[in-house]
Amino acid sequence: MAKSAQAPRRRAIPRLLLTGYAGLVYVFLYAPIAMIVLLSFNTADFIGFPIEGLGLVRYREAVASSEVLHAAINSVLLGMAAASIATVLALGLALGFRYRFPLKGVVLQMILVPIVIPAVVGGVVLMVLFGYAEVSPGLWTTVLVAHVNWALPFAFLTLYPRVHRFDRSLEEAAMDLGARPALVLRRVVLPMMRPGIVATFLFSFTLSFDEFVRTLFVIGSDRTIPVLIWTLVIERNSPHLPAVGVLIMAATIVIALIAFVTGERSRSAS
Amino acid sequence: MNSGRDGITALSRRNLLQLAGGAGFVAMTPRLARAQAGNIDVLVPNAILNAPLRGILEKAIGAKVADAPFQSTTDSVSRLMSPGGTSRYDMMISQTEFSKTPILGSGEGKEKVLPLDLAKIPNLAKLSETFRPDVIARNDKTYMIPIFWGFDAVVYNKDVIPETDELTKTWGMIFEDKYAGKIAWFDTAHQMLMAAGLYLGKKKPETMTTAELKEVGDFLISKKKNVRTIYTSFAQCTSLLASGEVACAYSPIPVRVDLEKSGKNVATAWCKEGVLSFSTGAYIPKDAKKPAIALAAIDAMLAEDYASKLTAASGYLSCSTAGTAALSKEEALRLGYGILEGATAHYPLRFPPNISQWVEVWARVKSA
Amino acid sequence: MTAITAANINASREARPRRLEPGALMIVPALLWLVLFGVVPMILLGCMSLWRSTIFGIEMEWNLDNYRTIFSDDVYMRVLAQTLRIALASTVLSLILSYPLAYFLASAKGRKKTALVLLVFLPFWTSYVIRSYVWLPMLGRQGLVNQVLLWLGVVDAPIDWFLFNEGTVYLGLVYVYMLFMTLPIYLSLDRLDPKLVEAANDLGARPAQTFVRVVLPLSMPGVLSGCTMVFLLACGVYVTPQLLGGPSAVMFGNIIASQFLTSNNWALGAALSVILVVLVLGCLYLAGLRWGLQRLFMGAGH
Repeated sequence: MAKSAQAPRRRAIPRLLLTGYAGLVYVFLYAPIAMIVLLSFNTADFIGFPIEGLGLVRYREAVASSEVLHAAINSVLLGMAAASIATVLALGLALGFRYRFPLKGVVLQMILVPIVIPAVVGGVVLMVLFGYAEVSPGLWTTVLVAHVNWALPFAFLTLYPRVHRFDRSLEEAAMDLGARPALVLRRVVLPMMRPGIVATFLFSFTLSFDEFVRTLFVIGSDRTIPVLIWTLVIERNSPHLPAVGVLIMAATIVIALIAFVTGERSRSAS
Repeated sequence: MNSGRDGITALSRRNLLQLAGGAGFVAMTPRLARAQAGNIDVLVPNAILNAPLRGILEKAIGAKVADAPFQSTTDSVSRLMSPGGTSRYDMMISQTEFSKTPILGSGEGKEKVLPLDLAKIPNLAKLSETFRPDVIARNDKTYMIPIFWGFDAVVYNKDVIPETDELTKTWGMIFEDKYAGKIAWFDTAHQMLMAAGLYLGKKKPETMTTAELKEVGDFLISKKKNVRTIYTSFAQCTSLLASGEVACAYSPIPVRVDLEKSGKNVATAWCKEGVLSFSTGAYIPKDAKKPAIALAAIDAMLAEDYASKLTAASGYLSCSTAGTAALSKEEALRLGYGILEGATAHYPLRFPPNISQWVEVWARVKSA
Repeated sequence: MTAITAANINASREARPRRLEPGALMIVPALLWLVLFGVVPMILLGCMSLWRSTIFGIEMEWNLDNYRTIFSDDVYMRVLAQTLRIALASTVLSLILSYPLAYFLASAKGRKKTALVLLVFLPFWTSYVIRSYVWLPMLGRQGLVNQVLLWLGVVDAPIDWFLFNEGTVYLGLVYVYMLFMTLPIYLSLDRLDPKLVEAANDLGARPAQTFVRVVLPLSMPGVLSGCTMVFLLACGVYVTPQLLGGPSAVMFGNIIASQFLTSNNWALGAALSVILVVLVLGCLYLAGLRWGLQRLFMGAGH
């Protein structure tokens, strides 16, 4: 009894230190973000300090810029396409892994290896492949492949544990009642996996949206958001880059918060 | 995190479809617009499409110009040589010296570019005599036509380095210890080793032997401690000089032009060993999709409308006499045309036969 | 009737165990994709590493020159060693900095917890390029940190050594990959049964002891997952060292990229890529031997 009375006091100081440390980490994470926001209001002709004046001119440029709009649309559409393909493929893999087939270990390596391959090499191998196949670089050809390649292992890793822990008794019960396997899949398995599938889709979308290095090697004259940001920063030193960055971040945050809030509401509703 | 995962299911399928549909519609519109007019894909130093040059060119050829980001001549040639590289762009422009050998291929019939129909390039007559030798041909077929020329030198910040400083007359500014920590180099083997070779007194740096290359490499390694950073793109160089991160840097022309446009107090160091001059030529890859429009573009770039505005907008100088026709003598000199007349020392950026050795030496310098 | 039918079905299933169950065919579409866009390009890369690059493009002559160059010219081996060193240091640094954060997150409760975790995610929704680039205006001579220091009077002149050296690369790598280290550790700690910790404390263990003997070992899957991920990412990183490293922090990713983008030596680039992949797979294999590959990648969830 005495020990547990001392325990809270003994644990208070480490607790305080931990919270203080966490606070410092948050500052570390957000200081650069805050700085970007500050710089986005800079009216100077270059990205960075010193601040010559504060104004919205860069935001006006960013919003009026058609290439920003095109890049954003490209990234969103590409993300959805890549996420869809990756989720479907990963679903097939995850479900298929429940059954027996030869060389399962080899297939597992094949799925996981793309995570391991450095991004530069991942981009380069596709550049080589499409070069020899004489496929012109394009958003819906080469870049889509690069994005699906990158998202697929992660999609599989997200779905597989859920499928692994899946309670097969419901499935077996349906089959015992005479349902064909395809029907069982559609009416029993997939609906039960819906949260996992949606999570996988969103995760894959995020991965595709932020994918940069691989894309750089296989993209032609189109732009996705990360590649556009790269162009603005490295190739053009565009003063409206911080504004673009802030807009993208804000849009992403808003969407994420909407998802979060609707999630909370549906959870409390159900 | 379980709450987060379940919460996400709330995004209904319908919402996603609506979003997709809307976005898809908006995305189609620019594509439709582009498909109507012809447009050509080009890979050229982006500065030559600065306003108002792009507008002038597009009007002259009646098509839109879609330009991919240009990194360097070596990168452009590399793309052309790569598998499938001859169909990616309709027109390319890169340094004549470096590009002429690879694009001609290893022999007759193995060219990577199309022969140019000179009848469609009447403005070729306006080509300045100085650049006639840069018209690259093989057996009566012309493959490459010079469009503009320029020079690399050192650009320095006059607020930090006074114009009276001795080092402003030599390549030594970016090598010697005086401005240690305030120097930036360009990440290219060819240019940097040439500049260092010139500074070390080599009369013909492109003919440097392995031993001489090693000497230059060791020199660069010994001076690397003075370098703040090695940049890879023109815009990075501009940024470094503008923010005061460095006070002097190996700079191509567009850097100086951009800095001057923003009102920065910079100047070119007219190196007595010779600024590195080069001409660039246009060529049409073998499997270009719109060679006719590309030809028209080449012709338009030598015509008066485009050529006379080239220098003011981009800093590069036109190979066509139409470029200086409308300029007064003083203006021409100020913009740099004096180099052609010997008013300023320059050394042509010639292509070394053993370029792969140069690349190795530079790799050694960078990793030291 | 139903029961008999079921029993028959089950009996016949057991009677002839199949090597390939029809349900497994669901993997076929993905398998086709993986072969076409995963295996084939890798094989092509391997072949290319045995060919020769000239200024006219790639000649398909089979030779080992590329590998010979890589192993004899000390440039490449030196950069490889440097890459491994930087990757390892960044991983360790990242682990030290992220673990307490993950612990903090795991020990938070309820709504606050989700909010705190979300706050860690948010910065990673800026683009990767921006997350790397941002350190230039932050640490440069005219950068934010220097301006604050000058304004506070702590220094008289801007500090140079913040930027363009190996230390900056560490900083950049830790920053861009922090989520990859924090998340698995957090998930692992989150699954920890608090009753275990309580039990240890009730049995008289000091907090430090509880941590080392109970918490740390149970969070190992997450730690390994995070470390592996960050190490792999750091080995192949290309943008961050180029932007922040100055004249000396060249990493293998930069060399590979320059072969393809600048030097037009695809064959050498292919050979360098093969070596990097072999190295990385080798490290993974060694890690997998001790800790189990599946646990490594999927361990964070279990």
